[in-house]
Amino acid sequence: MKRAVGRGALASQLPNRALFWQCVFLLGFGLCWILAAKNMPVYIIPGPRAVALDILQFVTTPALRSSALASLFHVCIAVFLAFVLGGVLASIAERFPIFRALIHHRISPFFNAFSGIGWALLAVLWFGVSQLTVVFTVAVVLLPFSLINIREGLASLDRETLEMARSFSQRPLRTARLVLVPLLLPFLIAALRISFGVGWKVALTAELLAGDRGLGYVMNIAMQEQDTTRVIAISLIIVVFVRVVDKYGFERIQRKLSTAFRSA
Amino acid sequence: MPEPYIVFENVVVSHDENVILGGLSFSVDAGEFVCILGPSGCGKSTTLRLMSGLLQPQSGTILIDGRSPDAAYADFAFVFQSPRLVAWRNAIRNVTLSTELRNGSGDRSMNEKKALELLTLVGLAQDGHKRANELSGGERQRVAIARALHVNPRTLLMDEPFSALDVRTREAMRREIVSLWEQQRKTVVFVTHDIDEAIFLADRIIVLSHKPTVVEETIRVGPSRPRDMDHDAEVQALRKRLYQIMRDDPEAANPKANPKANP
Repeated sequence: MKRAVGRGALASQLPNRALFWQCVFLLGFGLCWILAAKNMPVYIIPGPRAVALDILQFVTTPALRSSALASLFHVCIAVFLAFVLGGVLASIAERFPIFRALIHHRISPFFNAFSGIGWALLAVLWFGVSQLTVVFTVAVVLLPFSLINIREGLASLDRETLEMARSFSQRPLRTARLVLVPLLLPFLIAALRISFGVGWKVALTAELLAGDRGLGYVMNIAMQEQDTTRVIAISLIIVVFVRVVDKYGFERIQRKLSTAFRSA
Repeated sequence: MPEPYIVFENVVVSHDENVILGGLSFSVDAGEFVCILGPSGCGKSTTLRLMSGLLQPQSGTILIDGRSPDAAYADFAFVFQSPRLVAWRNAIRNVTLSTELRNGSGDRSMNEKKALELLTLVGLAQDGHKRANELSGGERQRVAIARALHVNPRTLLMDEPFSALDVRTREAMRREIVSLWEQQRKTVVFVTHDIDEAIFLADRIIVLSHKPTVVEETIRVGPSRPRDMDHDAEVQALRKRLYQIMRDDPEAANPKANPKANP
């Protein structure tokens, strides 16, 4: 009994201890950063204060703010396109077995292996330097993430529940709305979550190589001007933004879904 | 004499080279409680799927009140072996799901009111707002029965609906389904491999053979309800006869699975 209580107390202390060590790590990292910045030129490692002030400029300066919004727009549109196209391809493969091998054994591995930079350069050649180039590059890189997640979702659908739905309805759209899509939701959210995270990485590269606006474009200019402060500021903005959306958006939704979808 | 409601004529179903139903012929009258009894894997569930249009036969004729199963699908509601509730809805919304699937969303409050009435009928008046995973196995199966009744079908197709339940719940559910049938007089086609269950429930028992399946025998169950399974001589004679017909089926002969099956 004593042991159980001891274990319980230890378990309740663990989150606090984890938080303590996280704080220690962050403090140590900050100190190392300050020390390094003091001993290095600013174009190599700028100090935390300079970076923080630069981050603030993305809130206060309209041009920088619109660049950040342009990147967000690129990512959101590309995630949406990849999601829809991946969903359509996965559905075709599921509905028509004749296309299954083509989609899952040819198209999916091809897109999965093709380099993102390769797509960006091809897109520049095809569409020139434009927003379309950026959106196309990001969407095409994200396509296999959506396709694979939705394929896995369709493959692991509860066939018995679907049969129950079919026994009550001969209308496929109604069955899809009331049963199929809710069954697939955890996989759809997983596809969106991973696409959103990867999308930002690809968007920066695409904007840097082929964009006429967006954070990658600003980063390109900063690199040419040896403005290390701005490069770090942009990278940190993306890290924090992606983490916040992931933790307070996707993670919460997934947690709710996993509770709601516990087996019945 | 009225035409039978459900007619199977020489129905053949095969999967690859494997013939499952080898020319099945039988009929069911409207309002009748029929049990289809047969050894495991003989195609009892396949027969129900054919009735409701979930499966198509290779040959033969299936008529539901003179129509094809596809045309008559709205006559049926299925109760499966497992309840197949959806986890993201509570019991009331699980019950209304059948009507939403069949007729569209319609009047939600009317649907929910009717669902609550049906949950009361199956003894779950207090559990309407519980999620599926908060209900016991027997309660979930009751919700599945209420879900089937919500579309007001002419016929209930029940595919071994009590086989996954414990003995006590199973017996209670049998009594409930007989009581429901006596109130509503819907046609019930009930699949089972449990001889006692068939005798307790049915007006008529259709015994299927091993694969390739045909009708081995059709038996009218004489004793009036409620049937005394332990002392009624007619029940005991029927049990003995069914056991002899199904002597090759290990599950029917297994005294642990079905203690009264072995006379």
